[in-house]
Amino acid sequence: MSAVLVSGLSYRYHPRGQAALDDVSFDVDGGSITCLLGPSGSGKSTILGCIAGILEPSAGQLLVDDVDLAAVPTHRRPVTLLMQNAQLFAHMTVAENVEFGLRVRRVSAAQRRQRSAELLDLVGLNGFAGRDPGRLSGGEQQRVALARALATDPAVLLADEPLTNLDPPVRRELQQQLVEINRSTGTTILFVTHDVEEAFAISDQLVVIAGGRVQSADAPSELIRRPGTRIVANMLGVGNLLVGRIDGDCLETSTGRFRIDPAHALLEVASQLVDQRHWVIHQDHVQLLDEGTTPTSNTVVGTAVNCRLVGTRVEVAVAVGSDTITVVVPSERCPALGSNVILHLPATHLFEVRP
Amino acid sequence: MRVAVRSTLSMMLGLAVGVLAVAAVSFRWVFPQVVPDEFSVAIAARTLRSPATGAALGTGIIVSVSVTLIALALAWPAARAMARTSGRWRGIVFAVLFLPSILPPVGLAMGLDVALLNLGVDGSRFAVILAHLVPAVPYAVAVLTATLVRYDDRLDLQAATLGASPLQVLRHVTLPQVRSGVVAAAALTFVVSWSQYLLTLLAGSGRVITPTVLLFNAASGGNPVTTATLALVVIVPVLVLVSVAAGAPDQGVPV
Amino acid sequence: MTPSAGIVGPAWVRRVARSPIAAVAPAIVVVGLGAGYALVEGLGASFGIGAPVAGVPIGLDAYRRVIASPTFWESGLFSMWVAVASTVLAVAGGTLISWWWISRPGRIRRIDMWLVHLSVSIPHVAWAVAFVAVLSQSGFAARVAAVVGLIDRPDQFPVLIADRAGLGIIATIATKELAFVALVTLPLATRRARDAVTAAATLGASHSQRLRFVFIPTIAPALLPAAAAVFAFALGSYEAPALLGGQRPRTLSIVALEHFRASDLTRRADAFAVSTLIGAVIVLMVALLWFVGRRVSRPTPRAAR
Repeated sequence: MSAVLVSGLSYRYHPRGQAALDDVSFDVDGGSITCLLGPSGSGKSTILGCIAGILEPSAGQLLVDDVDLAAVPTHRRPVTLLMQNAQLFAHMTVAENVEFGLRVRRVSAAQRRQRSAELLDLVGLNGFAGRDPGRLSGGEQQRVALARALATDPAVLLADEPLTNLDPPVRRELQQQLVEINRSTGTTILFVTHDVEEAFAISDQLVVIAGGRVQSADAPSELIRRPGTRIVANMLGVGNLLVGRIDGDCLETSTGRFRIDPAHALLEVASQLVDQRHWVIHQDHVQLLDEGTTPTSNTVVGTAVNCRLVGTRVEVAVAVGSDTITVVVPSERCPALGSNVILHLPATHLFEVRP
Repeated sequence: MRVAVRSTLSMMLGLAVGVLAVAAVSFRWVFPQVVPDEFSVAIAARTLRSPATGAALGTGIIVSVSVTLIALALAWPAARAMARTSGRWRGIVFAVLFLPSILPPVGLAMGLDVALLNLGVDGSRFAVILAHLVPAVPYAVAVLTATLVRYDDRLDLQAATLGASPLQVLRHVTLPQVRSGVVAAAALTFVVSWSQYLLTLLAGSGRVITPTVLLFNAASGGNPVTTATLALVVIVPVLVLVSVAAGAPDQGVPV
Repeated sequence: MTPSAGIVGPAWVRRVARSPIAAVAPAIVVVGLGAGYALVEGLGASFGIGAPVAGVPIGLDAYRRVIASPTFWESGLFSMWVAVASTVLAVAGGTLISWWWISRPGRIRRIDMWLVHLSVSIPHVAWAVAFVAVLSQSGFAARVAAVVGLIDRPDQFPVLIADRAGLGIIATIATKELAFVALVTLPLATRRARDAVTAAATLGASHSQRLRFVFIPTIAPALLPAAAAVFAFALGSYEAPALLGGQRPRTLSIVALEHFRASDLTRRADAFAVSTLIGAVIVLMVALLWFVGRRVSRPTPRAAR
């Protein structure tokens, strides 16, 4: 069942201005973590604003648990919003912050106290109840904000880049914690981020937004294989683009001739209407063959022109004719610059994208 | 909602200024007419041309311009220092500067009058100028500080390393960049001085008559048309100067 | 750093000239000494000390006379009523203006700033004159009421000028000071405050709950000093009560000035006794507001549970 259904959502900041969101549709499975991934200014935060009721959409429908939100004022919507800065109320203690949603719903003090203790425990802030939020670290503040957002058992937790301002180790810890909370409480989370790594680390489902439109939506493992559009391929860091003409079950490019899997094509394979077809392959899937290997199909010969250390592995740029193909190999296999290398681009990992 | 704010304030101001403007040119205005039966500019013109009005305008302008210049000169170094420091120190200085504003105005005016009397300057324009500085200087510091916090004074150092003397730095580098803020501070300081009634009355021993004092005298027992005309004489410069100040990027009072 | 960079002389001279203390000294001295001197002279005079009250016996006589006067308590209560009512209305109005400002996205428009600055800057005397023209029984409001048929004769319009309840004085002070309150709270009605209010909304707080639980505590650090300043002004101001007040009851500020302007030096001591009493009430009110402020704008630490 979908917890959130967004259909045909459009938003304009000015009545006759450009659309910040243009006919956006997607759905969020109940109990999942779904990430809205996109560059800044792509409109992903605007989507959350519309669902939370801070912004009023110019068109479209929003359903949460099958209830249309159009006529529901902000404070009666069954969602809560985590913002980039924790937005803790400076004049209240940590516990008072966590209890805020319950207090405005007139829950009794005893129940509130019990619930805030539970939640502070859940986010690992036992003993913080009486503290002044202004004296907490960024990570602690965001945990308090998380506890506060969960206190009222929202149908959906909206998170608008809540971890962006935190240091990397704290950030990874909180990502882990968020996934654990999602698994243990079953709270649906719709999480906005511009960070690909973060999106991959936490999401069950990924919706890629650019220019106010949905570019692709799929599970992360699927999306990295078949990004669907060039924009998404770029954003996910799928580095190798091959542009050419389809000839039977082969792609004819200036770099070489590659066998393809017709099932990976987006257009009719034999379509003669479009002769510039765009195919991609992730640099992790390009293979560097040992010297002396007899070239088989889908191999090209080139010159190693640049090496860049990425963690324990090396990203090698290989010049093939006038093009460059990137391949990632363990650092001990890094070829000498200027040496000839043989690359294999398996047909199973070649996918067509929309230009 | 914002329209509500704008319309409430503009209605209040518009009503006040509008009623005064109509009253100033009314000739016969019988109840319950909302608009006068007959209009005439004769009384207003006579009020404007009278020697008393002219003298008051002259005095008011001399006093307020002097207060503005002195207050700005005193406020400038303070505002530069305030813009560079922050937190505790700024709070303390502003607290001291604005402390007189929680003294009862009547008490402050009477106390200042006695103080000026002791100094032997009571009853002169000079005494009035000194008295006006007490409310004017804090205002000038506040408005100048609001402007100067946005000014990057490394530009001054840069100019100095290029050989500019401190005065040249001020004239050619600093002032041109904060001009609108200084203009705003000058306009608002002038208005603070221009508005004073009680301080002017007491420090001037009733001998220094500014338009505001003249207006008060007319209002407590004068012809309503003359009163309305004088009210406009007092209000119009304020309107003009506040509009000039509104051209500056920020005139918020830092608290 | 820079303003005194051209000062020449021994090292200590340059150090002093360059320090922020030297920079703020002229302004502080003029304002602090001016107000301080006024305060000392006034306080002294109320006890019969100083040249302005030469010959008046030193002691508490002035206070005894003032308090024993038949109209003192009437004037005192009237002044308190005017000051409290004006302050409450001005603070409520100013808070609402700030609240409206942050209730919608976007920056504060220049025209709104202009209107607020204008309301703050219009001289009190001119504002009071305008209010007389609008609120008197033959004023603009009465004429409008007559035209729409609410009243027939001027004397049917409620007495708002020189009335016993001081409504005209309160209206004049409150309308002008609400713009002041809005202006002073403005620096705190920021994007941060708006985000906090938005956060409260997404947590389920209604409009009034957002105002009460989040917005007012957020602007409280500016709101309470503003309230103190408005109260001090309203209790000790002269223009509005002089132009819109009646013969009885009169505010303490009118009483004080009347004593002051009498030729008798004894009555001058009385004037300072009255203004010192006004000041004492203001000090009490400031202390009260400070105490309230500490409770509102900071979390009250509770024992860990």
